[in-house]
Amino acid sequence: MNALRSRAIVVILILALILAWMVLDQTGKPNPIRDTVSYVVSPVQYVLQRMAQPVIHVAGGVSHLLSQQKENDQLRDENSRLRNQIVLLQEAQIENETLRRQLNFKSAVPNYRLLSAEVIGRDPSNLLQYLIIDRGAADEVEEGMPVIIDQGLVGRISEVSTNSSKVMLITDASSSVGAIIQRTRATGMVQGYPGHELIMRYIPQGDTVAPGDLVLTSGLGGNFPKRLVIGQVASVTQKDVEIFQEARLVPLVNLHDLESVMVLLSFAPEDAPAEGEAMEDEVVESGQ
Amino acid sequence: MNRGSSTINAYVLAALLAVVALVQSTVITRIRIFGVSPDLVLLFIVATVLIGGAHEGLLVSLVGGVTTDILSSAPFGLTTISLVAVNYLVGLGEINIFRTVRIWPYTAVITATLVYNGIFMLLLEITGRELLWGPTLWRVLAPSLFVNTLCMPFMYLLVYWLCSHMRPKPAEWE
Repeated sequence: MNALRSRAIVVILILALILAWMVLDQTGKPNPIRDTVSYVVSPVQYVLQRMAQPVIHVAGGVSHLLSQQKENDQLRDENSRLRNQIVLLQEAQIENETLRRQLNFKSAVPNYRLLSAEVIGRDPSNLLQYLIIDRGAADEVEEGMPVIIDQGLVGRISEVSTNSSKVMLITDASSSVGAIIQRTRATGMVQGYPGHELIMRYIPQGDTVAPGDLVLTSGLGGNFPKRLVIGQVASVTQKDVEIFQEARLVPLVNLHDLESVMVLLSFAPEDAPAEGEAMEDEVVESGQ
Repeated sequence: MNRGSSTINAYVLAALLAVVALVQSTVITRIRIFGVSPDLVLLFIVATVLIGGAHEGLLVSLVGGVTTDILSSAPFGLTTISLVAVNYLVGLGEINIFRTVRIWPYTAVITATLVYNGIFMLLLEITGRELLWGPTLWRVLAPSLFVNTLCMPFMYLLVYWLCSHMRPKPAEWE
């Protein structure tokens, strides 16, 4: 009976407190009940919050981690896709620059009829310097036609099939090109030299040749048109007992990494009895 | 490794060597060590002969030589002749006295490189190609010896693995 009575009193007091809180809130005046409750509850809330923070952070971190993992995977896939796109765009840019240079070259020499070709292989032997290109007789390619890029002379067509051709590079030991030093107009003959180099022979002793001189095709012998860049003089060998001097050249065209070349269709080489023999006779005669 | 490998192995190896020759022409020539590229076709043949003998190596040499000749600018047949000569030369290693020597594979590849390039250069000269022998020996052949010797262990292991996996299974008695 007493317990029941006590409980009833507590309930009534709580209800009265609530009623008073509501009435005081409606008056708009400061609510002492609210202030008192806040005064008591706030510290407890503060302590509990501080205790719960690490747990909340860990839980949040795990949840964040899980969502980040998914986002990470998505970003990784997108990164991979974008990286591939970048590679494709870079390749397109390189091809664009190459074609632009070729176009500028073609524009600079409009009387040249040029055929672009891709390099599809090289001679398997270290003793021979040849390229295989994807143009052949079907594209009007003929044996002996010069092969160039915008930076200079590459070589000449040595063998033609229907859809492909072989190009003898100027660095092949069998290659001979009539040449002239741009600065001093000294003539000679450029031959391929083992080790992917060039050597210019039969330069008269009286003519001046110096490292750094630019060497061009002279047109002598009729195998190549005039004024195509061959290379640059690296060193000169002079012997007083010799009639001629020699110069080692560095090709200005990077023959190792060629990916595309141009075949000069509008140039018809004159027939020579053998590779370099007619050239040698002419150079020797001019030197005397 | 069973020295009496079946003919099937030789056909498969020959087909593989044709692929190797194509790879040599398109990819390997872009790789240069001291100015030269490793000669995979030659190495493949040397390894095949060391493992399978000159008889098995003959078919492989012929196919490898013909494929390389098709891709090469040299007169047709030069590579084939050179590789067949190498095949029989290296096949001398079938004599036990050589096979027991550990450095025989290295000796074989050095000898094979010298003989192959020597015969090749001689035939080029005979067919009218101009060659500068001195600079070629110093600037091409010497680096080739080094590069081929360096690559030989890898090629030997590859061919050994191929042959061991293509070995016919022994007959089982029920």
